[in-house]
Amino acid sequence: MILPLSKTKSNCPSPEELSLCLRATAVVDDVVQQHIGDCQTCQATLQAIAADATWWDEVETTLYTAPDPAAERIAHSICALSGYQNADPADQELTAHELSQLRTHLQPPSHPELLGRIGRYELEQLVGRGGMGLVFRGHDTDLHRVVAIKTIASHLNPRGAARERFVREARASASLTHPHIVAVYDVITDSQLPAIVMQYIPGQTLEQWLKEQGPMPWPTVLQLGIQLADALNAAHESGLIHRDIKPGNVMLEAGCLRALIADFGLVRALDEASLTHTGALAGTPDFMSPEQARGQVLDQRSDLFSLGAVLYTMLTGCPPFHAPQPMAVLNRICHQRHQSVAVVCSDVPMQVSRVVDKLLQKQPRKRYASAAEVRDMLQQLSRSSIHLQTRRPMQLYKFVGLAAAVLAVALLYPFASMLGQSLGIPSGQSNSGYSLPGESGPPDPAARLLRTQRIADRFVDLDRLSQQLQGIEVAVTELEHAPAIAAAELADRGSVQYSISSELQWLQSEVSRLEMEFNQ
Amino acid sequence: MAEFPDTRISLIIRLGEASDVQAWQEFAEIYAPALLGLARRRGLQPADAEDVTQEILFGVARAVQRFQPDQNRAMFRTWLSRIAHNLIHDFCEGRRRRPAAHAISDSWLEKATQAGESASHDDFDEELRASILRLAAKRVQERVAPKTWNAFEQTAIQNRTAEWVSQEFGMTVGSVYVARCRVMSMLRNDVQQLLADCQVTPADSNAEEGLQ
Ligand SMILES: [Zn+2]
Repeated sequence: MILPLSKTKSNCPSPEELSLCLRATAVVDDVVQQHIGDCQTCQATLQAIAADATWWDEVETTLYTAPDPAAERIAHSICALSGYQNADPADQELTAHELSQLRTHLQPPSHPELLGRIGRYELEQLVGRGGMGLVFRGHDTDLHRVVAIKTIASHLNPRGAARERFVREARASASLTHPHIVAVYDVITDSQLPAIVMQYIPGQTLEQWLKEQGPMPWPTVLQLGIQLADALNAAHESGLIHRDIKPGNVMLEAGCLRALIADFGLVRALDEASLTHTGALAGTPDFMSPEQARGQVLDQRSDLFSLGAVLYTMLTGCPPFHAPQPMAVLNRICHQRHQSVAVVCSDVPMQVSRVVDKLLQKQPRKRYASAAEVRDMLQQLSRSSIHLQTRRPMQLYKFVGLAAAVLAVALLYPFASMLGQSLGIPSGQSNSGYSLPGESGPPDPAARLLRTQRIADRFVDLDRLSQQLQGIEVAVTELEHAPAIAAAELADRGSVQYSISSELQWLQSEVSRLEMEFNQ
Repeated sequence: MAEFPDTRISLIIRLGEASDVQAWQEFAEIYAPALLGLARRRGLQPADAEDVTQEILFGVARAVQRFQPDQNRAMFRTWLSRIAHNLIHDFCEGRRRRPAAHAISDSWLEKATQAGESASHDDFDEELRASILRLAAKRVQERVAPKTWNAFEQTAIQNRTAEWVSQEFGMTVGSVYVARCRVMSMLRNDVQQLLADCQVTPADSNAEEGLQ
């Protein structure tokens, strides 16, 4: 575009001076500004410096129409998926924005120090934030009881048929009464601010507890696990699937002895009803089952997977498939095996770890068939928990005696030497201190026993042997679940050359047999 | 103009890195409206357009981690455009339900990028430019004084005269012109930066050329 530079009057600022006016922080001289106001030539020049006519046109036509609100909803859900870890659910201060939003939606409170009213419920204080909105402690003015009120953020408010489905789901969940399920009292959808009114539990969520205190001792996890499984069983029996079992939905009463599951079916129902099916609302995907991550049809066994992930988190302090990005989490849930609890925390008994492993099976049919079965299993483990402790190799030594240990080592010896390097234990081949000179090739069982006895003799430090046994046991468990993966890993770690042979399978069966013997 | 940090890594590359929340936000803010617009252009009903957009972004967000920046950076837009064309086409044919569910499966990307009818990328570029412009406008509005933005909005978008704005909002006519042009200049800078990030050709050559 050619600017009419030739027609510039003598008192017009130069194009350079004019372009300086356009700097974001420039302070424009009053005289210059006055001149621009009066001089059409300078107005045109300024306009052309800022952008040419095509730009002005494009800006006008594009920005004249309002953006599609659906775009904002989608952007919101994508961001929620990526940025869920930034939200701090424990932040119990209302922001100025939230407060002003609330004021416009709530009826005025009856006391000035309260926040406001929804129908017969007075909102007293913010006590938490969830995927779907804010949680308040409140008061039911009719029944004179303390309640928790979960408000549903306005952009999530389900519409049309979705709304009916959500209300139906909420009513169904209101019909559940169980000592370990947070009772739903009321569902308010006719107010400007839809809300769910429920039993108020003084205490904190399991999520907050774990964040502050770290992993729980396994006997406590067993106790709470029994309660959660029992609650799930009750819900499943009445045909309800929770679909969002996670630490944030488990309330712990003060003292950490009683756990209650909150939000039966509600968060996911809302998620599916209002926007996305992506689980964006639910915040973290860490506890989703593989079938859920794939968007397949769910049955109650999906909850069992999530329960497994919760128990895992309670025991280890970290979710089994955690990754910095939610998409990576979903990928892991669908395609990667978790590390067994016993591998992460050596003080958790093998049997407890195995229950979690079974719950975390990718295929629903490989999990427990029902929550009742899980509950019974956990109960059984809890009753025999002293026994569980004694099963750990160190105690095994003390109680069963050296002979049994030597026998175990004898049976496991070839395996032990293979694992030796990866476990940091000198192997028979590499360290003469533990090997018999002149031997090569696989020995027969008698020779193996003899050799192992000698090896055992040389172990001055019994702890060391105990650790070795435990390591082998862990490795064998890994093998039980994914022989190929474990073998590849082990081969990689110790650069030990071997193939998965029938010998390994034989070892596995021997280990199981030994376990059964020791259990009796 | 140094409105942006100069060492701005391409948005797409940042997405693949560990939880760069800002990058994700930008990604969603640019591509959600553009894809939605494209789907609507192809005659999808609002609810279907929303679903298909959701699926594309969800699948892409997952796949983007596997992106090799060197080879593919320039191709991202074309790649996304092809996915969009294919999925919208599928959707029109009624071959999909519950879309977001598919985005998780491994075969999704493969299927979505299969060469369909050779679609032009022009209309997608147009939608992209529009959503980038909106995003830039939103950002500029946050950076300037409300009065400055208002002078721009009233004159450049609502078609009011500078005189009207001057009387209505108690500004001199000169300051209305300066404000309106300053916002435009900032807007153009932001848009060009974002377009470069998304590898979209600018709609026109810039005005400086005319001045030389
Ligand atoms: Zn002039």
